[in-house]
Amino acid sequence: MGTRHVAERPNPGQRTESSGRSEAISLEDAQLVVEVQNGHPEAYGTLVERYQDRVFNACWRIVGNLEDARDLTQDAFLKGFEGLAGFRGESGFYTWIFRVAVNLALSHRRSSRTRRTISLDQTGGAEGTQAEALSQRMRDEGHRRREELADGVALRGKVVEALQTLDADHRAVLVLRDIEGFDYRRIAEILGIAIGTVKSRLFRARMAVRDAVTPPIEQGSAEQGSGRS
Amino acid sequence: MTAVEREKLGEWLSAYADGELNAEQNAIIERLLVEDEEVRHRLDELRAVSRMVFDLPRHGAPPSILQDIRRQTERDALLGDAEDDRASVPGQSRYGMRLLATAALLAVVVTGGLWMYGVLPGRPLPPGSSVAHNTSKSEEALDGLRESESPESSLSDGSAAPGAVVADARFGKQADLATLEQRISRRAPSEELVNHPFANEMNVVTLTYATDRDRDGSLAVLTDRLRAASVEELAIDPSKPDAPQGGVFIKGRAGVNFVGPQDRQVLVRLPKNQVESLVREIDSQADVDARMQVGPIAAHGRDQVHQLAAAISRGDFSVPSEDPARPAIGGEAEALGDLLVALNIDKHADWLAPGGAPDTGDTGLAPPREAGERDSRNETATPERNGVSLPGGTLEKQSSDGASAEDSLDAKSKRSARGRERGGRSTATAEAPTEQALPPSPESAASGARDDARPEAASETAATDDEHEIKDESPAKEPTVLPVLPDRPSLAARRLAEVRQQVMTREPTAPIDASDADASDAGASDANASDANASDANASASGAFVTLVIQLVSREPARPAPPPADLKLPAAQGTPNHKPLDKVKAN
Repeated sequence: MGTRHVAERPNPGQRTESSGRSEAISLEDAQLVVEVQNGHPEAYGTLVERYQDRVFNACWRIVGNLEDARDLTQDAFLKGFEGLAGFRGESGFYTWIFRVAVNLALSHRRSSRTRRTISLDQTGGAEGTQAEALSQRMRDEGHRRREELADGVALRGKVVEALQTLDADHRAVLVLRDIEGFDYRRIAEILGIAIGTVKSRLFRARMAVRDAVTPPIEQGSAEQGSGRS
Repeated sequence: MTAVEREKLGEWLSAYADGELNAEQNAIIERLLVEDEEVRHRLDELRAVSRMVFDLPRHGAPPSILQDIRRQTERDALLGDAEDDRASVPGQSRYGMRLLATAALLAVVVTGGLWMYGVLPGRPLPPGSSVAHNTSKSEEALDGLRESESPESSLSDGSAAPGAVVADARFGKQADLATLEQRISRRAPSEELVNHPFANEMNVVTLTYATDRDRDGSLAVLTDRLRAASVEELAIDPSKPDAPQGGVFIKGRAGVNFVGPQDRQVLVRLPKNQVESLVREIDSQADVDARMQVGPIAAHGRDQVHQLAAAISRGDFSVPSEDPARPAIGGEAEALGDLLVALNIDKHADWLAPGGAPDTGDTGLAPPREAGERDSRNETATPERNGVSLPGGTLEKQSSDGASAEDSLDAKSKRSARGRERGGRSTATAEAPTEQALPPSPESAASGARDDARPEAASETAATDDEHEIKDESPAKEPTVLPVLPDRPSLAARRLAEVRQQVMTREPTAPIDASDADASDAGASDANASDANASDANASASGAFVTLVIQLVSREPARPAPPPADLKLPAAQGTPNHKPLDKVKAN
């Protein structure tokens, strides 16, 4: 199971699916869904092929474990198949199957609790804001290996580590936005939360990752600047 | 700027980087970006983080995922789960599906349990079948099950772990169980599971559930009884002379086998000549709009299901084997689950749907069908709410609100006693296992009348028992050719031609006319009785058992098609007391 870049990877900055191509894919998806509902289960294979990479990758980034991600992906598609009869097409299949998968992944994550996570929803204490509280905690954890941030590999590892340190809810938002390129509305739909919550969680998650990967000196200068404003 | 304002600004900056702000917010941020270097810096940071996360390496999905999913969906399709029924399911909630699966499962399990112990005195058996219920032994087994219900054995809280039963040391099935569980855990193909080689098994009941919760919860009902039963009660060797000659019973060594949480099936292996009567039994209880599948051959609707079941019972059905190492099904080698029969039950969707059962008083049942109201056979499921009621079922009629499955068993036992008092078949067969051509009991006649009500029935039949009065004015109808399912997966495609040829030409499927139906229901045909006796003897001797897959399928209620002008259907008198499993379990 080698690492590879997934086809149709969204381009950061232009990652929301609003293009005509996406709409065409949605139409194709809808047709395939109808085919499955009409008794042609083989059509489901096309849907699986189309989205399995992205679903798998999202699951992987949420649970942080390839084996679990594999099982979750398979479970998600099988549950999707079982539930397809009730699928009304109010959202795209892509969104729908992601909802299934992410919910499975979140449930798995919450139930397994194999890693210590930090809740970003806790209040910030003296600093006053949740993001700052988290940043402080992340900084504390990150002091040990600051030197490793010198090269890109270490940086990537740090990002991964930071991701894994986030609690599942924040990680899911970050994965869905910055890896999968969903817009806020779809993220809210997938996770069943308000768009405002998406905004706040995404900001906190990004700030937590920033604090985990940015040398303290830069952080200090940035915060000094921030304090000035 | 306060901390809160900084937080809000950060959120806006983050959303700005994603293009998720409205015009007014955009204008504010852009003004700040022009005015404040620090805001620009924070925006750059946020974008950098977003880029770093985006640039993380990605894994493609392992190819095995697609393969496994295809295998699973193909299996579902082959068994009828994923195919034409699926189109008519929109709107059926998962909750409803679970309830449906659970409650239908209860019906099947209890039916199977009753069948196992031969306490269905009022139910018709296959023509002349040697389903010689050893009633006394069955009664003892049943009593043992009832009486041994103990707190320590109770798993009614749904905590029964998969394999709890078969792992019981009494069954001596640990080795086989471990193998099976390994296969399940690695998501082995269904064929492997179905053909799992259980040593010494002759009868297997395989219960499969939509979810783990359903499985654990509803299985507890059966588990309690199994665990409480003695080894002697369970480990019945059908090859022994004193063993019950017919019926499905759970053999201790086989135990209860699980296939996996993804499935919604109940697999019951039973002698071939039991298939027909079991189908009829389920039919009578669940008002099935059945679709039965044997290998690649599918029968749609009651007519064809009963026709196919009859063919199996007569032994004029076989499936060749493509594998030289495995002899063709139909001979000695069909002992272990080679013949796969799928029967869909889909009529409980309505009263099991969220929102509860239709208002039927305390029974929780749909109102009885009015006289002349047409049946829904050969159609998609038509719920009771749409005017089709459930016919009187043995199980449901005997359980009352708040009654447990155990109560149902108890009631069934009492009914059995009533049947014996009336000189019914059970006593006779117990006393004279070889005597098959017995007069029908009133109940069997009633059940027969229900079958007669189908299009193939030719004559008007009136049957009355203490609970039903059913009239049949259905005209005769030519049997329908068994079709193959369209767009069947490759397995069906491979075997289609030869199997179909065999089924249709080996012994031309005679029209199931009224006499056949009567004989079938009442066991009154000597000729058939002889055939069935021989068949049953062979079955017992050779282990010629089939696997009956009762698949629980949820469908959206479909509008019934206009009834044929010449078709009148019987009115089911009385209101069977169907009860969702969860209510039963609660007691």
